[in-house]
Amino acid sequence: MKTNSEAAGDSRAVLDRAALAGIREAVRPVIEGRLAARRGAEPVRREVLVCHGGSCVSCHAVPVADVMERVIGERGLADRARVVRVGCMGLCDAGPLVLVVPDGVYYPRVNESLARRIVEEHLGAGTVLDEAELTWEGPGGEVLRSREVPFFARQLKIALRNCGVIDPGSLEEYVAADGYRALEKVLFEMEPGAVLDELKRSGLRGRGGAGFPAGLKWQFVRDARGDVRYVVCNADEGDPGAFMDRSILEGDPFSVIEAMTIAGRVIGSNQGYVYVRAEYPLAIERLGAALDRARQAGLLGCDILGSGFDFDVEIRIGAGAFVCGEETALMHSIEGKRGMPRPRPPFPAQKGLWNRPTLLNNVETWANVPPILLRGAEWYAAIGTARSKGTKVFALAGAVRNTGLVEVPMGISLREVVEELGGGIRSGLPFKAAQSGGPSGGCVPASAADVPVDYESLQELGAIMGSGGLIVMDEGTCMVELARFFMEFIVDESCGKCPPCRIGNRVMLNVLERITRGEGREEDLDLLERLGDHIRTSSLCGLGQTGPNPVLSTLRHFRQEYEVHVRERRCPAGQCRALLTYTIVEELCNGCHACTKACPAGAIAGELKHVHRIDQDVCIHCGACLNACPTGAIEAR
Amino acid sequence: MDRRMVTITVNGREVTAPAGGRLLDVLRGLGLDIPTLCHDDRLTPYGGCRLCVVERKDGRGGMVPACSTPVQRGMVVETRTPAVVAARQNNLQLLLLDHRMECPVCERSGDCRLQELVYLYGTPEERLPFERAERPRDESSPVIVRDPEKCILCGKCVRLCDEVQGVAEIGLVGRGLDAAVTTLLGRPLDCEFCGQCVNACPVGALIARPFATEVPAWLRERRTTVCSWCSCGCELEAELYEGRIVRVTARPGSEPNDGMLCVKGWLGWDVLESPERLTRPLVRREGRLVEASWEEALGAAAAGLARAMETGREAAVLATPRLLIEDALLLRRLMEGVQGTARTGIGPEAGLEALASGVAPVFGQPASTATLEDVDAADMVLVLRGDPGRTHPLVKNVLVRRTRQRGLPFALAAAFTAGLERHAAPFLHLRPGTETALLAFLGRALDLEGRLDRTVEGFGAWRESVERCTAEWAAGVTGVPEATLARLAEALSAARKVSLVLVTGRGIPGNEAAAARAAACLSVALGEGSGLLVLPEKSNLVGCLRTGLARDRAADVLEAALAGRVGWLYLVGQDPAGAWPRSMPGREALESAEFVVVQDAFLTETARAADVVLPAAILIEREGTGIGPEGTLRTYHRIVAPPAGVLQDGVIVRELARLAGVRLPGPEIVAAETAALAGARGGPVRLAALEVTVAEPPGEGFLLDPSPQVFHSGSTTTHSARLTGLSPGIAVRMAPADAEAAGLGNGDAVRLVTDGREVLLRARIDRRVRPGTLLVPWRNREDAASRLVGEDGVWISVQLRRS
Ligand SMILES: Cc1cc2nc3c(=O)[nH]c(=O)nc-3n(C[C@H](O)[C@H](O)[C@H](O)COP(=O)(O)O)c2cc1C
Ligand code: SF4
Ligand code: SF4
Ligand code: SF4
Ligand code: FES
Repeated sequence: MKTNSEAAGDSRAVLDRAALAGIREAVRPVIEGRLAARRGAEPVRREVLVCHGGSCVSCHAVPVADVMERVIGERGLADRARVVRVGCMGLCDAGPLVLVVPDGVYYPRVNESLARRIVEEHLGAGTVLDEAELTWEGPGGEVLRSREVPFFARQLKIALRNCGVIDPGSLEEYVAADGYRALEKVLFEMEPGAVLDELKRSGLRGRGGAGFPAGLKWQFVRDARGDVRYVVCNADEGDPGAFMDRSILEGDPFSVIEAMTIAGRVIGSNQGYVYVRAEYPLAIERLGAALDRARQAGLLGCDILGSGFDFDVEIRIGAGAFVCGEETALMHSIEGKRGMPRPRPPFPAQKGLWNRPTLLNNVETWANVPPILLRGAEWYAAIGTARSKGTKVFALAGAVRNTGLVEVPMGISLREVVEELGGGIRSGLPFKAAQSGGPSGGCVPASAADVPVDYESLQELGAIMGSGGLIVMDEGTCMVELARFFMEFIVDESCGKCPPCRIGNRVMLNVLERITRGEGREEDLDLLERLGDHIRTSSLCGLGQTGPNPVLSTLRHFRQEYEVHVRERRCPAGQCRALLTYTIVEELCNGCHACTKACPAGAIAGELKHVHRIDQDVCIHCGACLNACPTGAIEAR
Repeated sequence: MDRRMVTITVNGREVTAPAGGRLLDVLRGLGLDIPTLCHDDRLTPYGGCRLCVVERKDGRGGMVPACSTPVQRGMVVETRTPAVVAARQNNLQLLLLDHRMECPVCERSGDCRLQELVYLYGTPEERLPFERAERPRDESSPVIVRDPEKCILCGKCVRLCDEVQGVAEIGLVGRGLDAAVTTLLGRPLDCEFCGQCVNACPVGALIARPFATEVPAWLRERRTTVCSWCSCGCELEAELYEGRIVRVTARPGSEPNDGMLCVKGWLGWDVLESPERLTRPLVRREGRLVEASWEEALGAAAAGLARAMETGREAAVLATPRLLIEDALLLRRLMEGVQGTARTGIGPEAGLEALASGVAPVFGQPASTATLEDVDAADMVLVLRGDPGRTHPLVKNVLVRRTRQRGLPFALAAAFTAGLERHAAPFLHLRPGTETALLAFLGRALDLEGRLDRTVEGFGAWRESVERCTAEWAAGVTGVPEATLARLAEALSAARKVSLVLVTGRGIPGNEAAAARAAACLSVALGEGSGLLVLPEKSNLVGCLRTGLARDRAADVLEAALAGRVGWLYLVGQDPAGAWPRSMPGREALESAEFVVVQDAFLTETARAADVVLPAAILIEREGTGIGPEGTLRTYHRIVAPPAGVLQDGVIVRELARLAGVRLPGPEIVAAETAALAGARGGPVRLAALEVTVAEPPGEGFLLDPSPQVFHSGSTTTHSARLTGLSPGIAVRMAPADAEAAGLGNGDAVRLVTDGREVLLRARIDRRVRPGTLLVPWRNREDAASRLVGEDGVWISVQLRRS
């Protein structure tokens, strides 16, 4: 990927503080221009920010940017416009997403021909392609455009501040966006104790799931006995729905590096590790490039910025097991051992990597650190709720219209997230519940959707904040099936060390399977609760301790749905195939035989060109006919 | 570690406990029953089985595993709440789901921890839907059968093999219900067969084939005794049925081995039932050995003795150091009673010279000054001459544990190793026999650092003698890079307490006495808290030395015999013709002695040449006392009776004394004398100048490594089918790179040539052999290795020729 800095032919010298200041002065207007972009601004020179987040890249953002660059060249527009490849802009559903600066116009789903037109018409002639612009219908029926769209307007970006704004490969752009100012402050203006104090007062809590106060953790590691300490960034991101950590590493890798360097200084460590899963090649590539660049510029390595402080960071690649995100398993994995959790205490802060005190934080936690130190604890603590400060990034998925990454202040209600940012339910069915925290989390029913979202309130509802995966469900979703789905994930991902998790979760899954197959028994619900409770309380690590959460929380909020499965052998949401009755609507059947051929049980009979019939005694409820029928004559209820 | 005592509340009662200590220990100390499956005191906390959970009521943690929760001030713990009981029951119920239950026919029934806990705690009655996956048993090893369908994944075997045995032959693979214990790539076990894993397995997932038995646990009688193979003296527990051993284990917490054994102590007991055992005395009639009654045989032996006395010739005895103290005392008295000048000695046993002429002049006594506990706790340990993993497995375990579990390093300086070098920091791959030079260098270097105690008597002379031993010189002699030498010196200099460990064993090159002397001097100069542990090869060498039985050297006895002066030669467990090094003309000496009495368990080469052969009890068939290398008394119990008609040495000696008219002291007196031999004794300590001789490096070629193997050391072990079955076959083992360079494949015939001697062997490629070394295991005198080895202790270089 070509970077701005390469385009600008930057020197590759070691930077000192004066050089950083020089870069800030020179490049800051560009960054500010991007942030302030809005319709009506007077363009001297335009920039097209092309989202190169993992999701946009996978829907061909790279050729789109290539086309734009080529056309800019062909049309001799190079001195009036340029392409900037930036990190994730959040609205992944609409990728490849493009933003033209300073006009502030977003174009969703840009393909190569649209790319050409954007260059020719918008960049070249200055005409906005109205019909291609991102629009949204406002509450009063009015048309909202680009940045007015609630998906963007309702966000408050701190951790994601640079994602989608700067070129992740450009140290200069990062520096211009206030990068490394926090590190400078820590190295030259603040005592480590003052940094800890700032962090504690900010109220920042770990974003990896458990929400442990970050400042306190830093303090523990600093106070732990030992001469060697380590700093670790957890970028394993195992929750299947979540991708905020990936987006930060892809879109703003320097912020994590800077934050880890700050921590190194504060706790007295000279070595950091970023543990990234192998499934994130783009994140690994960009982080690796950023590390090289930081080293080259003297922002990593010996005597950083002449402060006498040495620090370096290495990438460790994980094989992508969910459990390797658990901190003790992660450290075993870095040490080259089997990624298997061990009991805590001793906590990593006391005995971590190679038995040395280790500070381990999540990517998003890290990304919050520099702004807090720059803008102050009070600024940060003013955002959010009493005990959950700042913002949280959510990976919005499921039944909403806009899926993607959003960063919102703590305390926002689930309803706002679903209806305003998410744009409501896509299918038009009623909003039923949202699963927060992925396989370790639980569901929040629509009835509780107005509760302000923070660590405590979610916990009370039997869900968790988790890493920020948020799956929205409409009435077409079966909660038993949902629980079964997550339990299947847990069973696959259990490391196998302790019996409650290894065997207990499998038993839970077996029970759920029999319920969704229509073989549930009256006592099954109690069994799920008893066993779930046992697994939760006596498993070794967080995986087992939270594994039954999806089951227990759906049981708590949707017990009746389970009961209907068991007692009436019926799936109210119509999702459990084995519980559906399949019939053929006579008016629609054209007698084509497709269903007969598809049925593995031989339950369908009928002459060619005559109405077919399903023998309910033979039907095995597999639903094959449903998919096979070309006229939609099969009804499942 | 000293720990602050804090107050915690257990089941409503306030108790004091060490902060940071293991909650489990505190609870068990209070007499509370806390079930565990994955916990083992010898291992780092694991917290896997979740059986030991207790309820924490001080708002921190809820259910916590007692085995891996440290004691904290103000903790409130309940161990018997309904929730705790339910958690135990639920866990047991889950474990049983994934366990092939065939208790009535399982080897471990009655001795299975899972069975016991289910019996004690019960499980919920409700049936749970679960289908156990079928997994084949691993029958590929001749010793250990692994049954994954019974494995409860407690991980003990894996952790012991890694943390204690240092082998890491097995590991966990797979996730969730697929998790399993397996070897690398699932290949057949190819390990030390120490049995640590089998003995620790709480269920029947690991079974030792040799101990496959139909005898249920509750019909077996359990008895403990001291293992009498090597000098470590581990305590073992044998399970017997109708007087026969059906299984051998060791109990965690046992002294000195804490539940560890090696392959010999675990499996080697089939020697006792070897069909080759002598069960009746033999006497020579018309040139042939024929079976006789004890009366006849003892009579013949006594008559031989009387004749020697009449003809004015000498009586002499050479005994094995495995002799128990009481028997050795009686033997000495017998000989003294027969003839004031009778020669008494033990064989040319490894460790004898190290103690008698190596350390005795320095320490004032032929004994070690460091114990195994010292080695365990020292800041730094330097192991010299060999890999204890081959000769002294328990010492290996102690070394591995201190580094793997507590991060305490040890250094290993040896020419031939068997895997311990992987754990050593630093490892010094010495040219054979250059330990003395290394020690001389260390003496000089540490003194220059100001680390040594210069007030010890003789310091000046000693210091003078090592003056020329600079790093550069030492690097030239030992072949170890100067940087590594410096690293070792630095580590020793920084350590407050240093233990030196000197390994002895047949086939280890170099002069053991000289190395022992140099090590003793250095250990003294290192001052208070440092010491030297000399490891003799066979059990009870130290005990035999203290009985005064080793008055004469084996070489002198030989010489007297060769000169025709010996009229009655009594060989107790010694086999000069079969097991001694070629440099000692044992067979010739036998021929020169007028009358030879051999007391042994097998018809050795020597016994074949004897006039009278007396069948003796060996190893754990004996009752008595021994002394370990560090000076502690160990009580040996007869846990199996010797074959009918076979007697213990002391009994035979008493019979001989009776016939010879010698009065021996009664059992009480012998017992009192034995007890008086225990303990370390101080002598005047003084340093002496070292003689650092530099051996000529041999010419080009491979180094021959004929040192003992863990499976098998060459004499008694030859009669254990289990051990010989495991020991590498007679072959020359070589590193893959060397084999490739020589164009050799497994099984190719090669000629090993040295100094005019030559043997033909098959090649075996073995990744554990170090490049440049050829390993030819010593089995007995007729073997290949011994044919190449001219003289004990000499460094041999061999040429490899394709055949
Ligand atoms: C099964 C399991 C998986 C986890 N996966 C992750 C993960 O992918 N990323 C992460 O940051 N934390 C993960 N965690 C949480 C970490 O153990 C740890 O609490 C966290 O990284 C600490 O950082 P924080 O304090 O900044 O949140 C996981 C925990 C468990 C129990
Ligand atoms: S709870 Fe599950 S993942 Fe965690 S240690 Fe136990 S088996 Fe492994
Ligand atoms: S017998 Fe010993 S070396 Fe072999 S696997 Fe078991 S513990 Fe490891
Ligand atoms: S084989 Fe035995 S010791 Fe090893 S993990 Fe399984 S149950 Fe535990
Ligand atoms: S004994 Fe504590 S978890 Fe197994």
